[in-house]
Amino acid sequence: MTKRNKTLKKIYCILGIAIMLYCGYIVEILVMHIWHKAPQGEHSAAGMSEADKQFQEMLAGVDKEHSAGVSFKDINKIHELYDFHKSDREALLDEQNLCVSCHGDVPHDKKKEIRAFLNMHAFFMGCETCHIRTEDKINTKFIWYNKTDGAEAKDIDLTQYLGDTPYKLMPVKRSGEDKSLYDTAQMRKYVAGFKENVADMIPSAKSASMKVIHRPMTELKETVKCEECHTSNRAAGYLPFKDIGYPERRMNQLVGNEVVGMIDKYKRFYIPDFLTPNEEAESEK
Amino acid sequence: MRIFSIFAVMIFSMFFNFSVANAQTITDDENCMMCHKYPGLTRVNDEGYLRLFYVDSERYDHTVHTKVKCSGCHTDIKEIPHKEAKQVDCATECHIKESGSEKPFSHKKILKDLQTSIHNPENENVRAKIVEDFPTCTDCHKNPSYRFLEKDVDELASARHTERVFQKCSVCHDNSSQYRYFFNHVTHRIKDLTPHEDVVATCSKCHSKQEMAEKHKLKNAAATYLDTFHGKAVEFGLDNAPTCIDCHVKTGESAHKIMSYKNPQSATYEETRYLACKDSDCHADPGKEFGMIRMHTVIDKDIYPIEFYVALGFTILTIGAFYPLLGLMILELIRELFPNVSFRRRKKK
Amino acid sequence: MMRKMPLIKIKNGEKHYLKMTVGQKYQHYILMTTFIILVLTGFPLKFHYYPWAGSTIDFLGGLVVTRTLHRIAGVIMCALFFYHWYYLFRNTYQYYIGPARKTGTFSWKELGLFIYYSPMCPRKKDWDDIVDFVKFAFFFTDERPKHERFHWREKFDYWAVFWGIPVLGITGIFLWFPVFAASFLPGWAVNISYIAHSDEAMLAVSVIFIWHMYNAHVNYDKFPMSPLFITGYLPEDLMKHEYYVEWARINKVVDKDPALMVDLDAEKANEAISSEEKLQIIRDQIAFLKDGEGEK
Repeated sequence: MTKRNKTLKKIYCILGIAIMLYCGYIVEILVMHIWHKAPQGEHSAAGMSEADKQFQEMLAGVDKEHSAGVSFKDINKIHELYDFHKSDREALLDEQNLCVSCHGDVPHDKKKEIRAFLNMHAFFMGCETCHIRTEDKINTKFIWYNKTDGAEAKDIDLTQYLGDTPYKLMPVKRSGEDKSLYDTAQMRKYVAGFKENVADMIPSAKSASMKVIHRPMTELKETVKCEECHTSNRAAGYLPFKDIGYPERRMNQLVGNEVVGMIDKYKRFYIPDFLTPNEEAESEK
Repeated sequence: MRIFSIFAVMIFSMFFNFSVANAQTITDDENCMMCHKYPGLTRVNDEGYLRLFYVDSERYDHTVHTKVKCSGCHTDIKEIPHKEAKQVDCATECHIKESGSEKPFSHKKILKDLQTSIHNPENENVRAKIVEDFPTCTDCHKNPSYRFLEKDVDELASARHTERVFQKCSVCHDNSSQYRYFFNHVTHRIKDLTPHEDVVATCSKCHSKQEMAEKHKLKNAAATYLDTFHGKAVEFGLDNAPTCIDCHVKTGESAHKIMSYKNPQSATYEETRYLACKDSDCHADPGKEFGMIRMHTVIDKDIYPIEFYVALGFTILTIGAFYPLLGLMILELIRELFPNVSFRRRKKK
Repeated sequence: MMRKMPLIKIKNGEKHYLKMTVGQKYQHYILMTTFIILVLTGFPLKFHYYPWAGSTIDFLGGLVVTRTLHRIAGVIMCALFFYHWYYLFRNTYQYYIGPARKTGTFSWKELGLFIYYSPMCPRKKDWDDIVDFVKFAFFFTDERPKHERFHWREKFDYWAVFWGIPVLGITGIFLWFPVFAASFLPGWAVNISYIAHSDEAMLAVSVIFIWHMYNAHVNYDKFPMSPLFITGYLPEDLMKHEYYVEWARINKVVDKDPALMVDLDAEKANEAISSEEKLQIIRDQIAFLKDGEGEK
């Protein structure tokens, strides 16, 4: 036998042994299947389905991560207990907004009476719209940005905006290199660094960083309130409805009695301390 | 000329109607959609689950509940802001009138059927009375579509038995001559409402969960079913393959009347079980013993000792035959690795 | 090897030894084809929870097609089993009972010996071979056991199939006609048929696809494939290496009766004619015909 043949034979034998062992392993899995009392979920190669995971969660009880104040990340993950009126459509997620990257698509959870309304607004309004008050009407304007790629929309189609709108409203500076009011390149960098290191930070450093991150934000009690836009005195409204592209009919709806009256009722009967900052919320920010 | 203009007006008004119908789809006198049309109307509840309050009106308009007003089901929502709303009780009498009879419509009858079934925690055959695990209407039924897209519609003739489809509908509707009239009127666009995989998937929501089965002192019904030819036929899309309710519900009965095998009324009562298999499309003429072929076999020494020992025997046989052979092959390969090593050399002849 | 068929064929200067007759080869073909079809159509059902199961069934044309294929292949395999029994009895009669009766030398003891020494019958030598092989494998000796026409590995394959087909066939019929089965058997018989059918199939598949494939085809000497199942003959080096006893026996038989060796090379050489010969034939023909014309 030549030397080359000998080497080939050695390789053949080693490969052969490996394949044999693997075959033994496969046969073991196939033969022993009948003895497994596995739930059906284990059978599918894809593993647990979304519904199964939710079911596990339900059995395990309250999901700590979500109830701890961190807002819900994905607006499409409706719990199956509540999906009777589920839509087949998938809502577009905001991949641009810096606030959403931490606070999620469903950010409001403190004020029980209005949180759903606020979340509804967050669906088509960037956080900055209300949480950064811009008194300076000369140097700032409101634009619609695309949730997916961040591009500014020239004019919006109202039907689209009422459904699953791909746009969100946001205030920006009229001029300057970086038009952003909040998510400047510098702030993005800072937030990215913060997220990376937050696990190792001591509490005082963490709260100091959070303060820096939230500094451009208007204080909670000063934020733009419902009746500032939904007011029957259209000229005094905070948002320039006309400039952001709303047609007459829509404007009338927004400042009509149905909406304004409802807010009035809310204010008077249910939440007189509406938007009064509570201590817990403040300290967290 | 006049006729022409009338036509033009008619055609124009058709278009007009069409676009109006698209914009305003639900009868929404209460103006719920003023807020509920926004897809972002959501919140996270105290348990950390996302709740959506958005109603997709386009979809809702194509569901069986399209004619029902919001307050027809959500009877406890009276003011704004809404108080924490109760779960909808499907036995509520809504404002819909039963066609032909003019009686107010409700699902009470079905709830009554469900009371007689094993899915009622008060049933004496229930092994573990864990009330919160028992299914309510919405655990199995989401708001199903009714007016189907063209491609979804099957001819009634392709359903297994026309009469059975009729019986399925008569679960809710009065089995009267008027009803039959309506039934014949609409059946040209009826669809096999529940594809077979859907039935299995629905029951699997609970019956495929091992923890659930253990809690209720049951076996994993879905997994054992999927191991039978019935389950595999459904899984691989064989037409008319039997699903859970084909065997567990007597022909012509409401699918909600699934009863314990201990109940003489049950389709799976041992004495009469073979009748559940009897069908011209399934097993033409089964004997009584045929009904005793187990459809939910678990390998368990205490319940099914024969199956257990046969399975054990074959497993031992397979392992006992295959692994020694595998060992010999590996030994041979190891030996080939070192052809010239041996403890004792024989002289070559 | 009672019929006078060539035991050795010489081709390209190499001797090839007969191991399987034409009939045996065809039986093997049928068994192989039906086995592969049965596995392809049966395993996706047994292992329905793997993603490849669905795609295999779709590829083969859906459940109705695979079900029909499985039943057809199963029936053919069972028919082959019955044919094989017939084949065994016929051989026994044709090669021993018939001739012995005719010559008046029949004895039950000799019939027993005939069966005992028939190629597939497990004998004491097989057990010794296994022991010798284990000794060899554990480096106690340097020498492999010397085998006859069918060694213990092949006999294992043969008897595994011999036991497997009845088990799979009977349980298969019960699963095919459960109403019939339950008409005279208790219901659990169908349940255990189901377990037996699928578990026995699993054993057959693991033994055939790993053990048989390794021994007959992919082991180092034969890699990647042995010509045996196509030609029925094995080249001399393999024959000597693996079936030394059979090699020696055939050589002895051929020594006695050289007619049993066919030299294909020589035949080919005989058939080949040189240019001179060709010309010679043509010229002879012309000359002959010319002579005939001249005689007129």
